Amino acid sequence: MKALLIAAALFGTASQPTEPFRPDTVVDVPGGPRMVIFATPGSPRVALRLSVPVNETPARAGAAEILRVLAEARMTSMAALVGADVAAARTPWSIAYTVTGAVTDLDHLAAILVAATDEPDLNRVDFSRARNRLRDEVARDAEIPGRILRSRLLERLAPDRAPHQGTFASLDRMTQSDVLAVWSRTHRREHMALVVAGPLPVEAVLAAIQPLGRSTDRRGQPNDATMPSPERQRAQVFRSWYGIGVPAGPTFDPHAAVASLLLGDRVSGSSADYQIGVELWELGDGHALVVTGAAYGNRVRTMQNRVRGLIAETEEALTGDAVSIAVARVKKELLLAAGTQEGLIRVAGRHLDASGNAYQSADYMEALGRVDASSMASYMERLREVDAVTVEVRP
Amino acid sequence: MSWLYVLPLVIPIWAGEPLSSTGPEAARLAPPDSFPVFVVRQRPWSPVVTVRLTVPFGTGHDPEGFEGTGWILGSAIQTEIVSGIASLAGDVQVEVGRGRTDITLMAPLESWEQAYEVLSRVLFREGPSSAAVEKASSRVTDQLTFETGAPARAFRDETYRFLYGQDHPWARPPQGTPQSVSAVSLEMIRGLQREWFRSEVVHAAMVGPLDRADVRPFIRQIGETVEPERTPPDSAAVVPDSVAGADSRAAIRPPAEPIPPVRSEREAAGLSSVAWTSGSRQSLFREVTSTWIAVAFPVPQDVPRTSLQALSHIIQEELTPDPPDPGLYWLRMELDEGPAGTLLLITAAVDPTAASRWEERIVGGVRSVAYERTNEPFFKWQRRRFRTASLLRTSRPEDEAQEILSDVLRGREARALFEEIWTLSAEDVIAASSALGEPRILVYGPDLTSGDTGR
Repeated sequence: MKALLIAAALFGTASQPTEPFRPDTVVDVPGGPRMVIFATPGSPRVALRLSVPVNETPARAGAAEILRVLAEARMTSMAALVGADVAAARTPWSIAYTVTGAVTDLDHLAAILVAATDEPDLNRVDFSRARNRLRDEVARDAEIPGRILRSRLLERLAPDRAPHQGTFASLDRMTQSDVLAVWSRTHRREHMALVVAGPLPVEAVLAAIQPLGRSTDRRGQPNDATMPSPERQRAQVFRSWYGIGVPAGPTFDPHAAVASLLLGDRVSGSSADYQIGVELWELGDGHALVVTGAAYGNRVRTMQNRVRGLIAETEEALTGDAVSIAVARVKKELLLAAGTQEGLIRVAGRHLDASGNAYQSADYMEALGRVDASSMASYMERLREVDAVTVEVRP
Repeated sequence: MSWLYVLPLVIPIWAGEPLSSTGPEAARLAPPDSFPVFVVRQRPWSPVVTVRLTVPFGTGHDPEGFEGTGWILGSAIQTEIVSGIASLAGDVQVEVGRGRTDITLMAPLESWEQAYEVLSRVLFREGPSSAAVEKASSRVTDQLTFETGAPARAFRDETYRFLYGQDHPWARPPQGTPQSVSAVSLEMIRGLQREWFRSEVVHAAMVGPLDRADVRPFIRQIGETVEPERTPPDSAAVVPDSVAGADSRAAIRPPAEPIPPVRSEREAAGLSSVAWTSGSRQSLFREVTSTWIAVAFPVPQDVPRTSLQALSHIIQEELTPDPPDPGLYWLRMELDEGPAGTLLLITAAVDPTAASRWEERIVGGVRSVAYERTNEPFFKWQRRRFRTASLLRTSRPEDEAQEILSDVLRGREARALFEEIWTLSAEDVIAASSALGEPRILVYGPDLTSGDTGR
């Protein structure tokens, strides 16, 4: 314990409201988890986010989502005692378990995280229920043209990444043993990262998370269930849908977020004849800017031209003022998030999961401060020269 | 675990006394300038400064025949400020209620003074531009069109007509009608802005990484920048900034139309401390697919706020169990600060076939919670959950500022809520429940008994 405290002191920095994402303490606990603490002095609340890296193969896509659903049910049940807020969420890199409550309830909040990461009870009923729910989601998405378009764009942009909710193929073949195998491979203490925002000494957090990942209560091999493949659905498509996806650089390049706002502003309320949307996707190892559109009959070609030409159009219209305002909007979103402890751990945790660097969100803020019209022009030029993937869904 | 017990840092500023530089206890000090009350609560780690201002102007002050004026004014103010702070990474929200308007500014520490200066200029001096008013008017018109026939809006309007009477200003539709909105002029908007948006009648709370040294000069600066020609028509009502200080409140005269009394003023005036003394019930049959229920209990003035909030929390948990009741679509609890006093207002949308059951359940739930369920161990568990819920409810700085202002507007000190909750007893909650008056109940939905839903 003494060695850990020294490590904490060495890593520790003074937290300033002007640098909200610079952690006060970073501790690499031997055997895990990596701990990142934001002090938040004076707050009666504490927020904790425990993330477990997950990288599914397409064949087992959906297994982590089943783990998430089952864990969230356990967390919700335990949170009832103290009225804490709990959530389990998938990110492109991990499953993130979060809990927020009173500082005085720290031990119980930590126990919720321990239970969340414990070996799941994969009885046949709960497993089937979770898998059916995912399958319903996949079926629903297969009926919605906009989601079909996005799904195909994802396949083209990141062929090795499967959708979180799985696919018909992966879910139909999935067994309890598959899910258990994913849990066993991923939910290891040494892989976990814990981000805390609360007025707590590091020893208190260390003590509270002692049982983490130490579950020895193996429940044995489950009786695997298989699921028959129901009839596939076909979507009713009335409008023509068209989308492009452009690899937009590494996850930590703030130009991508600024560009997505600038592109979005160009098409916001621009035409009643067709609909165009702009999204920024995190794909695990980088960003993608995605522009999608939908139009009826004789407006399809106009819509497609606008979608294809939006990056060049935005580049041409680029002004210093527009860039400053877009940078301020990105900064605003981050700072407003950091105004609450749960927002702070969410932003810092995502950056940590993506990079392994406890200071990544602070570095991102600094990089955002260096974005200007000149750097944006260079970025947009590079973006325009990247080969975009194109997908179409027709009536 | 005693080291975990952390007190919130509270530095309220009010007339007269010096600031306490050490203790977290609330101290009310003299306003160095215009605001009658300016409360600062420190959140030293937060990168965001949040300022929430409450103006005693709401849609209840819309001139008759010009309903919607307040909404247009609020929307125009928001548009104007958002545009002015676009490059400062700040944000502003304007919420226009029936009796008050809340303006919330959030800005990074390094730019909050600039952002506030924009807000101050728009709110207290120049008002919104004609372009912003035009845009706001168009937005309100679009919203009206979009919401035409929406049962949620109709139910809300009917609820306030039922509670306050057809002719009461609070019973007017806050968003107006297409006719009333089209009649609103730029001059009218500017007149209302000049009349009501004066810092001398605004209550303010700030939550952020600030201390007295940061705030003092800032408040003074606001006072010094008020321009005499922008003051209300009755200029005698406003104290010159150079002399505004500890005695400024005494010199301020109310605007032309009286501000709805806050509780302490009602008490001083010898008015009833409860909204009504006898209950009633009304059914309104409409051709809609859900039944909407409003149950309002009058709350006497002397019921402690924390007890009332605990009661409200316990009732909410009682009425919305997990797993959810299939007959209940949603249920909301509010403490409504109306012109006639505080109301515990419960609104719900339910399956029409379950309407009678839910009406009974709501009324019965409120009446039985404290008597049947508040045994000691169970109460302690409920209290613990209430404390966490209160912590989470105020985790956003804007919500914390709102909580502070809700105390201040009732003429009370900002509470140390989380400490107060531990001192709550089951008897306190029972007393709060017992003190509630007879409810007024509105049921709005289809008439299933007649077979004709459009009566």
